[in-house]
Amino acid sequence: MGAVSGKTEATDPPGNYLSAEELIAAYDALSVADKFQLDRIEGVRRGGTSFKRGELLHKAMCGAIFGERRCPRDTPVVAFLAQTMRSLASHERERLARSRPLHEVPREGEATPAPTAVTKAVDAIAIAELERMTRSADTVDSLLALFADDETAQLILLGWVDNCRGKALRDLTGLDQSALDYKIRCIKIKVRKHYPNGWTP
Amino acid sequence: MTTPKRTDSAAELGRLEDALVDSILAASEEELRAEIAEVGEDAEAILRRMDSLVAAVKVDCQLTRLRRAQEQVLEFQRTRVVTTTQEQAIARARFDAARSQDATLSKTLIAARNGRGASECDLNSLAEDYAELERLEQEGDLSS
Repeated sequence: MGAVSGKTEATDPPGNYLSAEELIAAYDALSVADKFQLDRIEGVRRGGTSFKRGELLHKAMCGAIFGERRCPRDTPVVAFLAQTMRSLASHERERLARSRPLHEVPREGEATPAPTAVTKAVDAIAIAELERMTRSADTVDSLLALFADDETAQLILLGWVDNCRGKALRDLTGLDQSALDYKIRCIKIKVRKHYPNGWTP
Repeated sequence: MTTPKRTDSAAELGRLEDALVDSILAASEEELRAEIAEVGEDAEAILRRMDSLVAAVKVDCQLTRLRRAQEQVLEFQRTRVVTTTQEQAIARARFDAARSQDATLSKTLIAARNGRGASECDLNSLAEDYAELERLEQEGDLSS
């Protein structure tokens, strides 16, 4: 997912990107496969956010039309929207994490200065990050537990966690590409059934 | 065969998501249709929802554009300099004086080109423009 960049440099010529009219035409021309892909991808990305079904994709599409993120001419629109949804969801999760109420940690001893607004804010960010990490670790563990009876699926998940793809994943699992594709398909179906609204906490 | 080492849990989850999304992007229409059916969802309903979503995006974007244009008009009207009656009267007097010395001036106005001579409305508009020009010139003199 790293090849598509929605954010653009100020010096990039505008002609390198799709105009609002071209984007609308591209939305109108989405194929059946494109629509299925966007629906499934949104389902993965909106987990852990406050977006209802369709809202994340809607925001990504409108943002592109208004130039908040620009679609490079040489990038498929679906890949661009997938990357935009990734970014929007990530920001939304961070925003939600920071807006959660701060649980103050009791300080021992009178010599400890009372927390200032700045230290409270820093603490809030640190605690939010810690909570996010904990929830993420719990989710990874839950996913692995979902495949407790399937060692190969667990290996694929652990491979993904370690950014293993293609040959590295085949080597890790000992599967050929078609067996790997079949196993990944089974993972997708089971995950979708178990987490219909996305798995991210 | 070694088990990969686990590091940052949020990044781990992010990489899992990326891998899943990549596998969705690599899937064909038939594969996706089969997967959708297997989880008990209605593929046709998804297509209808996507078509509605694209239509809603287009409408919302048009409405947003319209709202932004209205805001720009309001902003223009808010900042627009309106000449006072006194400024217009002074400008009109100067304009009439200039006009009396130049017979060709009135003929350049729209109504005059229609053979009816300059209308009162033409002259008032010109006087207003003239007053605004004078004000701009004065502001330019002050700032330079």
